[in-house]
Amino acid sequence: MKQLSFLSTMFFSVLLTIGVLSCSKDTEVLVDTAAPQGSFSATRSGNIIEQNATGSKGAVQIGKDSKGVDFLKFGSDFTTVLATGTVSVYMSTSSTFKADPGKGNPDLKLVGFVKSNGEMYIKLASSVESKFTHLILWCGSANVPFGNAELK
Amino acid sequence: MLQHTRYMLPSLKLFLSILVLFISTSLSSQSGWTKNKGEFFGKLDFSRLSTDKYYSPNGTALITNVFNQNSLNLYAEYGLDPRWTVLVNAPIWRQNSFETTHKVNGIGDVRIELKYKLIKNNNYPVSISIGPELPTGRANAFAQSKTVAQERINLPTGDGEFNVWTTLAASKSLGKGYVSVFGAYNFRTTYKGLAFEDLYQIGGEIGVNPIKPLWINVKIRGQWATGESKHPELGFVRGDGTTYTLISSEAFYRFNKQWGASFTYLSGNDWLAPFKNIYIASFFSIGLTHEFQRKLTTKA
Repeated sequence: MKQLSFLSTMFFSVLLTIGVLSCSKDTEVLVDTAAPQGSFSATRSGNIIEQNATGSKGAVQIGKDSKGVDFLKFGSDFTTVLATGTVSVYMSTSSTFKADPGKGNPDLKLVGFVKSNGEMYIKLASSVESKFTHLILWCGSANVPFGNAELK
Repeated sequence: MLQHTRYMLPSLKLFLSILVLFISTSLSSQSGWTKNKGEFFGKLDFSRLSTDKYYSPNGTALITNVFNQNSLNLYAEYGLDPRWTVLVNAPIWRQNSFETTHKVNGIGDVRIELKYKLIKNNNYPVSISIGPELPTGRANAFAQSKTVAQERINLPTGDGEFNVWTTLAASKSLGKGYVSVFGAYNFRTTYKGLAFEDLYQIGGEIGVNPIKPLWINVKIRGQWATGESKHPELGFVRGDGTTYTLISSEAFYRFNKQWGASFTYLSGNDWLAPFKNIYIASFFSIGLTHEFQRKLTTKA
């Protein structure tokens, strides 16, 4: 009788372990919320024009993924100078960086930071208003533009 | 005959090519004279550069946020024998920052130079020197933005590469003065597999000795690159392809046989070479000098 009880316990323990592992496997599916889900559809695009001999170039696009989330996409041909440190990415109403902190910088919108060359997505908090016609790569510490792209 | 070797003071670093940092501070090896055996000359100087004028690698002038660099430099010459002199140039402290960032600190790249007098005549000596520059400085030093937490900029205190300066210099005594000319070549290597362009310089110097304890000199030198930087990450941050024309004027006053002080004004223009990839401003430096002649024993 004791042997039967022991075997029953072992059997249910094995089943329970398999069940837990199965559940664990289900919860281990990671969703990268910083990357588009499904397909990415561009609504506007452009090409980066180099400024100040920084070697900046490449295609950029803004658009939505399959779930309607807004993203900024840098193409696989994107490069800029990262040895200088952080390169900030702004949406701008022109190709010129016009800071006006006293009025809340109405002509600029900081959307993220470039961390590497090559293809990359930056998730946007909301759609980019139509007044922002350009993307600007900006070195904030030195106050120097690295490049800009008109988005059409 | 004038003992010019006692007065060939090192010039200070003028520029920073975001770094800059990489331009040699010493012009002392750029004369034909060497030290006598056992003769020592040392100098500790301080300079502060503060400027918003930057010239990009293609020569475009830009106004940026103000860049600041404080430097403490140690320079020494010692005569090994009448023909051989060893020189050390050690930027022992560099502090870099923009007005919008916090400061970063470090030592610079140390150069150890061996100089040989080819023509021994002290009225018109000619010398050659070989000076390896070691990557002792911080090849990467990120300064954090004061306003945007995620922003930082790389303001290294060294260029991260091993390079070698070779200098040929000639001088001529002129009564209570002298004149020197030189040519120099900087063989540069690589940083993380990326090759730097070599650099070369020519320059000249005139010095006068109006009263016994006082020497005054004016100097000019131009620097050119063998080509434009092929790697923006080197050019922008590590002084690749940097060109400039430097002028300076220095007054050196000797308090006694061992101690003296120097005051130097430095500036730049495009008389010889244009500005490329460089922060530039006129500025001053002050230095304390020490010199002595070691007593040498002779065999009976």
